[in-house]
Amino acid sequence: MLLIRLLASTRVTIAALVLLAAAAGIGTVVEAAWGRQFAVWYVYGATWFLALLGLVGLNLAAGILIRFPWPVSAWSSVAMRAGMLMFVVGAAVTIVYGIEGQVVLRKGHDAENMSVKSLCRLTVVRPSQRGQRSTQITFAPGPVDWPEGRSLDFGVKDGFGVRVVKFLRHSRDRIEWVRDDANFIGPALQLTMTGNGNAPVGEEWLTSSVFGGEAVVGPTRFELLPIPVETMVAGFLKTPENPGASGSLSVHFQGRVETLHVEDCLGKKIAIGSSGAAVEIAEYLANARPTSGGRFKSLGDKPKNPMLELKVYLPDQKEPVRQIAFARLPLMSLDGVRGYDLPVKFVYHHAGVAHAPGARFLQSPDGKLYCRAVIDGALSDAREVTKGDRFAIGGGYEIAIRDYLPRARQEISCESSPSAERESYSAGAAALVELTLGGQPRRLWLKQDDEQFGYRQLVTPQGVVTVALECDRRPLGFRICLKSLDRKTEKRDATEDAGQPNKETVTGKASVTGEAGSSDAGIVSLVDITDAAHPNPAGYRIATGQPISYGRFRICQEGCEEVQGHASASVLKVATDPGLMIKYVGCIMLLAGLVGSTLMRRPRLRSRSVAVAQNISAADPPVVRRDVAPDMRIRRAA
Amino acid sequence: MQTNLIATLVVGFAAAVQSFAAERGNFDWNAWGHLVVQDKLRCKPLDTLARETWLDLTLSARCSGPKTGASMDCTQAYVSMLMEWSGWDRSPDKQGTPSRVWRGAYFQLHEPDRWDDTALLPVDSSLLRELLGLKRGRTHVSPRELCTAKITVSATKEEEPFLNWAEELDRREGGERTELEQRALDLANSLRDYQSHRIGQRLFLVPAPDGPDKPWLSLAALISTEYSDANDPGGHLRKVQQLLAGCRKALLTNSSADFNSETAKLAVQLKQCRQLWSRDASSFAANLEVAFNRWHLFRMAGICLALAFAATVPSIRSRRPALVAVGTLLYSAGSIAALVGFLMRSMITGRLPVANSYEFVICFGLAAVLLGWLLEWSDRRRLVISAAAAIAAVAFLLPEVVPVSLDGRITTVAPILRSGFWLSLHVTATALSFAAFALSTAAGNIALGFFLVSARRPVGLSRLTALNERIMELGLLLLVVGLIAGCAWADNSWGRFWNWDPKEIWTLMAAAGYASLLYARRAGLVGHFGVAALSIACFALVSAAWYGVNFLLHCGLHDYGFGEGGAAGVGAVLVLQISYVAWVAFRSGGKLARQAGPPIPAIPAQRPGAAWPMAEPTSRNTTPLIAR
Repeated sequence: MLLIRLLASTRVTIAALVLLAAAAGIGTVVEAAWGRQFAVWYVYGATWFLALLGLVGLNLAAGILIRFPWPVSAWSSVAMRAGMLMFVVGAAVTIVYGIEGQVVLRKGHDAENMSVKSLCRLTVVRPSQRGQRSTQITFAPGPVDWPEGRSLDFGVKDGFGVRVVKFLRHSRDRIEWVRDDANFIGPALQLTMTGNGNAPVGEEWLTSSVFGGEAVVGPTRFELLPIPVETMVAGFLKTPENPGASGSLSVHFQGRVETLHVEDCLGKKIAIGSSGAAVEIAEYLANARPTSGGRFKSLGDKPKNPMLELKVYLPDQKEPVRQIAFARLPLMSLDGVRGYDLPVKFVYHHAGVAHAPGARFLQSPDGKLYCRAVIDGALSDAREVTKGDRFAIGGGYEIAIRDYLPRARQEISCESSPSAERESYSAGAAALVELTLGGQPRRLWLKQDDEQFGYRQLVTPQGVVTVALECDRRPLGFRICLKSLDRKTEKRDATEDAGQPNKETVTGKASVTGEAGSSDAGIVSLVDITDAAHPNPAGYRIATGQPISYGRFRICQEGCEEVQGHASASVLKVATDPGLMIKYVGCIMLLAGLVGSTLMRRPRLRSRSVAVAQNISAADPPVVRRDVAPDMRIRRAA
Repeated sequence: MQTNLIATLVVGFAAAVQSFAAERGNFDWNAWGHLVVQDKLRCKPLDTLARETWLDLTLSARCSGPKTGASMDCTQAYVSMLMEWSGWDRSPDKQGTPSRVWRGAYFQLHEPDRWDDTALLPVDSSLLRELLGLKRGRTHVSPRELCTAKITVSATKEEEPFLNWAEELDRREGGERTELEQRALDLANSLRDYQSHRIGQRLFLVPAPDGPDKPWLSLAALISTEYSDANDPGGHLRKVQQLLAGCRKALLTNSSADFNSETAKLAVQLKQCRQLWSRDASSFAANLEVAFNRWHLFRMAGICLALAFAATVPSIRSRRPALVAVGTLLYSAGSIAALVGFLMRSMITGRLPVANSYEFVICFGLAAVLLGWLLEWSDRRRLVISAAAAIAAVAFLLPEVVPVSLDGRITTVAPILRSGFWLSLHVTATALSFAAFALSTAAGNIALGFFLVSARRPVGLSRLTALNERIMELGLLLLVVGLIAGCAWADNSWGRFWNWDPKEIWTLMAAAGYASLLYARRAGLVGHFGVAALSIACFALVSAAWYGVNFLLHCGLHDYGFGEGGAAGVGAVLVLQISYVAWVAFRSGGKLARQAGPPIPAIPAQRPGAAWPMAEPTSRNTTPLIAR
């Protein structure tokens, strides 16, 4: 009882209110200085702030309890306190249990989950006896880079240890290539290019997959081609003489090489020695361009991009297999699309192909590196090059090979992004994750929700382990599909299109030229929502400032993603607020109590003042205002 | 004597009217001012566009003629600028207008004229003035001067045209601009605005014939397009072209009769075009807006209320019926002007005008006026009405003093501000509560004055404190209503009820402050001085909730109310208030602290309408200071 009395005292009430107000006020200054996320993490969502809310709640609850049984005259006071208590409880419930996420939808696409940006999810997928086994760990990293030495250890999960060693809220990635004979992606070549007077022009890593790779430095272009078959090397190192108007095709199969003149062999089925395999040049395309359905067609007869459509007859297959051969991209094939490598390889030469200034590097299967510089549009003779070599490539340019890694893999590291770059799309969060597998710790950087660096694969004795870092995703319980997205803005200045009519961007359907205040600038998404109970799509309109409620979620139009000034995806905010009804009820009670308190006090004051005027003249009466000081009354009674 | 005075006034007035008419040259600019145009996705009268353009270009609401500097009607200045642009004399095929008009292209189409030589564009940075080589005391530069100005950039130490440098600044991506660079770019942009307005690129006069949702046709496009039966089957646009040319010819030949006749025909033709191609052909809102622009109702209200304050203050101590009558009359006139202005603005915008800082200040002023009436009706001692008059006068006249910070132009509002009931209730209740708290602060200041003027305990103090309490209670109730309505509005428009937004928090802090004060008063923890001083302190929280969040913190979701400036003024008022409270505490504190007594005095009943007594006999049982 003593504790309740203490908690219910006026001084505690005022102190708690002042403390809460001061803390929240500090929160606003923190928000202005460091941003919303920072303020939410360190103030509004912090434990100490919740404790302060708890103190206010206890004070209000004690204030209600101490008046029990509640006299009729004190109803307004009790209602006010109960209302405030419910408001505080509702706010605390929202902080603790409320979820706020985001759904990004492109037109025609749907979603069943929302992304919770404030939480990170680390997913580790590894092989097990029953196929793939996935482990997910969710953590709240906070709004800022972790200081040095701070880490988050999740202990051992499903047989491997997980620890987040570093976390960067805004990161910039740095890519390096390192030699790795076990987990290599392909060869890597570091080139330095210098111009006239030895002035540096650029430095670039030239890397390659099985289809080859290229790098562009200013006006020059460099290619790196890892030649897969030994017999192909000679064909790459020396351009065949007189290949013909449509070029020549060399066919490589099981150590055999056949050279075919396209003009002579077009439409004919040519056997590759006595191997049982055969090739047919189905079509010659002088200037190939892709069309729908994975097909190609020629745009004109000039050999700008010569290509051959081939049919490959393998000894063990009845039907021929489709293949392609480009003169410009010698290693390009349909193997990647098909999912397996054809044993028959092709090298297509065409004299009409003009090469851009630069150089072509060829890696033989034994790891040797050859270079053919492009001088005046033609490939020079091949020469073997090694690390440290320098040579001219024409036009007054020289290149030097700073490093050559025959088998290399990418090594990614991240550093804190400078403040000027933090708003950019690429400056996402990144974490250095340590996985301990079989007693061996492995560290790797992962960028959150990044298509390129958001997931990594590790080759371990137990198999390939995939690790991914993304923001946490929660199920919505329904499927939402974007049917259309309209947007209106008034951002562009009419002077940008001088001489033209008023070209303020108008992409929406609704009127924009009505009377003042009636224009409908904003974003409007039309969505279909379905769930288990309602399998038929129900249409909803979500507009800026006009959210909808579905189930326990409130869905608001937060913005849209733009591509070249056009809205490409709708960004919806999805939130649950379990404390909402408590707060509404609290507000009503608070208001009722306040109105009651304000209205009920007046007549008594007036009547007392009249009494005072009649009895005590103009002097103040030496009485305590019992009618308006319930706390004092309670104190006296106690 | 009186007859002479009246005759002098009449003659003076007639001379002023004649002089004004002479300046206007009998040209019917009024008809031009009423023409409906489209600007920034809103239909408005040309009068409004002209005023806004002038304010944007010169940062001054006063429009003056070229070279002479004589006061001029904004519409007259705008239309003259347009008509005197010599590019109109070129054949349509040679009127190609450059896309980014900054320098040479403008003068390739047009010989510099009197407008180009008028110092219109303000150079508000001393560093920029120095860079441009302006003479001491010169704060404005003419468009022609700016086009030919050369500067020496410190980085290169080479002389180059100012506009070249500005164009480079505009093109530069990344990196923050220095204060000087930003001001230079602003100045160059003002020049571009001036040029595009003169060319007619910013005057959208005719609705697009190909659909009511399409942007309107600019004057430049209208003049430079050759219309035929193919692209103008009804011949309406050709007729507009002819009438515009006729107006221009009449103006340049100084033929006011022809000008007025052509203008009348043009107005009819444009209305016909609106009827054909626009959804709303009515000119009612535009005419109302012209009247609203010209009557300056809020300025008028501010002046009336300031005079009402001056008249009612002397009658607080001793009742003077004449002053009371004059004060009441002026207060009534101010109230009516403010109310009519508010209603007119509501009708023009088609919504309750509570969507930006300017409108909130006006709403606050009107709320103060209405509360003044309400409380005066119950109290009848001129004290509240005086305070309300002062507060409302400041609110109505403040936008006249800082037209850039509190921009009164009517604009389209963000979608979030279109949700009707809750937003209207939220803002009006909040404005009323802020006005109540301002009245409470005034009462607190007057109460502190009582401590100063009377050596003994003032008799009116008890009543004043009770009044202050009553106002604070009312304000708190209204603030809570506003806060709850705001939460409901946020729930309906942002999808969340309470989000610890800075505006929400500071409003809550203000509510908590007043609630604590009232609670402490009821519990007997504070006396008269405490109520007076703390009501002033609590108003600092209210100021922080409005001014602090909008003008200093600049964060949160209420960004449509954000603004710049005024920190020095607000800081000075704050320092003055603190000094005043400290001085009163120092002067009266020791004396009152020695007096013991009950926590709360009663309110002595007085005859309604009586003057405030300033002193009463000393009682042994008098009021303590803040805490016992």
